[in-house]
Amino acid sequence: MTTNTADVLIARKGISGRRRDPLFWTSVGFLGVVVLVAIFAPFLAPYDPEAIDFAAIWSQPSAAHPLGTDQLGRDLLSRLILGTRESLIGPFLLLVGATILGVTIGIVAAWNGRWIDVLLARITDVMFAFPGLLFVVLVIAVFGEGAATAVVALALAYAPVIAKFTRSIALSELARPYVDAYRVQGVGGATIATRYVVPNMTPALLGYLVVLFGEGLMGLATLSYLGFGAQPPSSEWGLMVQEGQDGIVLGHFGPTLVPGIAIAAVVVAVNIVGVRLAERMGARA
Amino acid sequence: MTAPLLEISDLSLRYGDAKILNRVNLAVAAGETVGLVGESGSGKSSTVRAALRLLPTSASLEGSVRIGGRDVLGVDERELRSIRADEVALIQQDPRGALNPVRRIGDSLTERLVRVHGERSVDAKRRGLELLEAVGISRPEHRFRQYPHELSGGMLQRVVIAAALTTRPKLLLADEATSALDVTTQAEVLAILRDQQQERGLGVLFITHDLHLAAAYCDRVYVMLRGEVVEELSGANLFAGASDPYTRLLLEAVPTIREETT
Amino acid sequence: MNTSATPLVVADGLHRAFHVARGADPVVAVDDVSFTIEAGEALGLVGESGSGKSTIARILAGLERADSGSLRVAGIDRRTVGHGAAARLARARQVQMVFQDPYGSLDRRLTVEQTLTHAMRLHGLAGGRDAKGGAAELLERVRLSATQARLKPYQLSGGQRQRVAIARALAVEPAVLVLDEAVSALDVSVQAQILELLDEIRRESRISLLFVSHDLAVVDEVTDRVLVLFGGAVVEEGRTQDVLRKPAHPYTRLLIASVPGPGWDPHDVIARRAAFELSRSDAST
Repeated sequence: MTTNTADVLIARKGISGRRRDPLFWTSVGFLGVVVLVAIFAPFLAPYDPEAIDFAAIWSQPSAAHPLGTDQLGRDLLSRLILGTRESLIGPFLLLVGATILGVTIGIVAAWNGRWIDVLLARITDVMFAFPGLLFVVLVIAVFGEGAATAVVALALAYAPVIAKFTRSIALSELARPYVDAYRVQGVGGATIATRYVVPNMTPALLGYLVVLFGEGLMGLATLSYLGFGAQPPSSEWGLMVQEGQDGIVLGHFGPTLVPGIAIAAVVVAVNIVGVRLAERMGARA
Repeated sequence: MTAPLLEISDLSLRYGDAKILNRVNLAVAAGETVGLVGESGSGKSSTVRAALRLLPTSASLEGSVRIGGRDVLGVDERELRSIRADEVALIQQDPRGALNPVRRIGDSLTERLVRVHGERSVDAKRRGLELLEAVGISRPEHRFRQYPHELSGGMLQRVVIAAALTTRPKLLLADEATSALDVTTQAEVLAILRDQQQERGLGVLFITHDLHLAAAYCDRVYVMLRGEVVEELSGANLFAGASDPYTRLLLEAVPTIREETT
Repeated sequence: MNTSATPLVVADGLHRAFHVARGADPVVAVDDVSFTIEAGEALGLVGESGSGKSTIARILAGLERADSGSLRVAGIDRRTVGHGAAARLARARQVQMVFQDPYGSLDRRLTVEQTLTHAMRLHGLAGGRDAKGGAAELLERVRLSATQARLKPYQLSGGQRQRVAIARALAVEPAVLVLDEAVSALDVSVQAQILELLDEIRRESRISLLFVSHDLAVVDEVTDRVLVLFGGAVVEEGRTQDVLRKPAHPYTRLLIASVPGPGWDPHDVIARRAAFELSRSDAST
């Protein structure tokens, strides 16, 4: 039985309704601004983010320092602006690496089955049983701390998760008769997988990957906070939170709160965009 | 004749500007099988879902639906649940969507009896097993412990039908319930429904796109087109007596094994 | 080799079993099935689900292999054509297929025109510029308008999608067209239009059809000869009008009696089914 009119109408209404979705567009706009800030950071920052000024330690927000300063008298606004770069590039690189690895493994597992599939199932079982952070700390313990290692470690941790998700949507995609239709037309297996099945999967994957970007940002910030990721004098947001902590007991919340809010805002916005994107693509599929 | 089990009067349904149903009137009496036919999008399924108030909140409904004399559209949530629990059962086309994939067949079959009707689980199990046997499922004790993925689509549809009958509903809404079954299996399932009608006066609203089936199985048939009931005929008279041009068109399109004219 | 005396399709002793679970006996889906299809002839396959009719269709289309037996189309053994792109394309030009689910069998990213030009280019049947003209001709053949060429599958109705699927199959000018429950998901009025279209296509060209359906009345309308399948084996075959009106085999009689119509009674069908099962178990002991 084909879809009945009511369902179609609801779906159509849903699509146009989401076009007017203010939350989605606010989030997109906010993320757009954040990206622009990252690109033009050096021109936007009023001070050198690493310039120490002992005369202005823990100063309150003022005309000179709109967000105040930290324990070394560095301008928080400038640090926040410059920190955008490292805070966004990290999760982006991590996601690119994890996606290339994960999507390839997931598709091969779905297409080919057999031992690759079994191996993937085992690896993901272990990864799920094993706290991700512990695995990452282990990798860092072996290869030494630093922003680059943190990105690589998290990429390795995310790859099986992406692989598993890719495998599940690839399996449902391969079950669609258009794949058989291409085979009947005489198109080869590898071509069907790469040229037709993967592009048809991207809408479903895209939303998921956007959400994962938020998770990656959180993960990297957490690692920096713990001292495993970005190292001083970087103004990566997780590191800023950690460095600002000393001020809390003295009543100076700004240095922790400012980067903390920045992380939370970006993660929430990314999640909203990711989830809506997945829904919107789903309505078309 | 007593008051009908299901009485839909002037039921209209719209989503914003889109009219889905327009002043639909239909009734099902005890022991009666009433067919609802029409093409996809004609509003058959929407009528059934509206009758049980199973619609998204964006839907606006007008008119009245009475099940067992109670006004479905007017009652509060609690009474609506009581109507759904005591009076009606709904069978839809896709059995996999109706059964929880991670629960055993037996649990799915008895949960309504135990949780909603407060029956003892021993009694519920006995009733469930009886019904599985009645819908033609062999080794019901074994099936009880199986999961949905272990059964074929035809088997699952019979399970869903058995599950619908566990609570002894007075009214059954069957939305393309047998469309996915082979013709012989379909006959088995329909024989069970007919027995239940004769034994305890079950009323059935039978939605189908199969006009031959509607004619052969239903006492009365309503024909729907674009959200409206365009004609009401007796089953036996469906092919011969249709006067509405749309009904005629629909009937002529149905392929039939005709006797040779040459 | 390919004289007018040999039928276009010759299937001899096809056998196919599926291993469902480790240790369990394989399920025989196709059991020693032989048939022929002449050029321009329409052969029907009827039977209940699990009777093997879809598997036979998929073997002919090259989506499934036969464990044993031979299958020749135009004198060429489908199994010995060989691997590689050229062999695949050669096989594809012999047999094309239309599937049950008119939505799932189209690539949802491609417009109607892209779907058709893709198939033609793949087989080198339209060099670059002519492809669009070829697509327009195909659309006209399946009675779709030029404006519909730019639409994507989700913008089409079930019947329109099935017309596109038929056009795509015709694009490579196959000798045989396999239709697996191709009109089963459509409303009766739309079904009637598609059947009329098939009739037109047969009158225009000498294309052969393998028409699989559970609907006996539709098979009666479309096909010249029919095979009745039960448990993977052919129980009766002959001219469609003879088989459906004067069935010889008890299973064929059961199938026909099960179809709702005047005088149909579900209890009567059950009694016939029981009698048939009984006669089979008697025969096997």
